[in-house]
Amino acid sequence: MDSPSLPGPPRARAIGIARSGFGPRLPWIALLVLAFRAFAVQITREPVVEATPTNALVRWSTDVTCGSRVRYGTDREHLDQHADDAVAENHRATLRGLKPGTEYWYAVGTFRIALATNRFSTPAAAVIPGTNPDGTVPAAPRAPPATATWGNPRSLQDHFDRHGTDFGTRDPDAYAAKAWWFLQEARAGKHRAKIDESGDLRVYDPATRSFAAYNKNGTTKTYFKPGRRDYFDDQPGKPATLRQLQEFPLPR
Amino acid sequence: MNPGTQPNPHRCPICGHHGLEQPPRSPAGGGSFEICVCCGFQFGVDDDDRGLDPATARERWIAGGARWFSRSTPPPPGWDARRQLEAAGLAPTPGAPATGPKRDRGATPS
Ligand SMILES: [Zn+2]
Repeated sequence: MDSPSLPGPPRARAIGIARSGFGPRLPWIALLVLAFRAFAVQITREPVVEATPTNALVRWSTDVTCGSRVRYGTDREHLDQHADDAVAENHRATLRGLKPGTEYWYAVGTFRIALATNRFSTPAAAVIPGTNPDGTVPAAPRAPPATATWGNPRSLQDHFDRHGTDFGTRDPDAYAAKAWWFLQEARAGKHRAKIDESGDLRVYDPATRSFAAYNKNGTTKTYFKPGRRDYFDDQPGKPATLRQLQEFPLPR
Repeated sequence: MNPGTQPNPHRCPICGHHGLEQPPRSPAGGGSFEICVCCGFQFGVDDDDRGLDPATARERWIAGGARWFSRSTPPPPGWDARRQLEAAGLAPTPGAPATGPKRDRGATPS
């Protein structure tokens, strides 16, 4: 094998080689840096799971911005499903369509790698007066009048004027009724919910981006669709247990 | 009932109306979710969700004509936005628009 003869002294040749190879090498260097970053991702906040009978929200943090993927399944060796979310440092992903009363294994990670594996169990579906055993709300009696369900009935028109179109409702009574149904769904564990230290309940459904706040007597404070994605997370209170939700008053 | 006549009303930090039924924020840190009948600001929503600080919200309310918001709660007799702002020490400039009890949507007071 003959090496091609290169002009000039050895030092000049070395520089020449380095220069000629710089262009094609740049993508490789970039790829190496990216690969290094991908494998260097560290979890800075361990995953926290909030599970309802059929959904689970998983949140965790990493030291660098990267993709959000939760791989999950009922067999630890076969995490055959996944839920993705945005590239972020503070990650979240919602697992939907889970079976009530079931243990799941999950691994949080990026789109390319899993970082940490753990497990959680969904609570058993609650059988709540006024709901079906699968948690659905039956076609039921009409909602009570807004004077019974809205915390401050004088303010209902103002809340409707500001937020009624969020839900396609045509009048304040329909808007208040929808907020009452939303509380029924929350009591069946269908949505995320928090109770603050004064006993007020806040409910959020990420699927429809609907948010409501209820007084501790079950009457509605407000019902609207926040624009900010983290709005519910930033609200005060601790995640409500299914038992707390079942016991939360529902105006009738 | 006019909330301005209720016992122990709280002053709105946006428009100065002395008629909030609850403090704008609870001790737990959340907003009250109350909508000011005067300026329409909703505590816990316009601030926490829409990112409006009081000064900006006030500027916008004034720029929009400083109109009474609520359709269901009428303004007190002789209500005047400029006087209310001045009394609360919230009038931004001497040129703040003086408006009478106009209504946002032209509804009849109930
Ligand atoms: Zn106000």
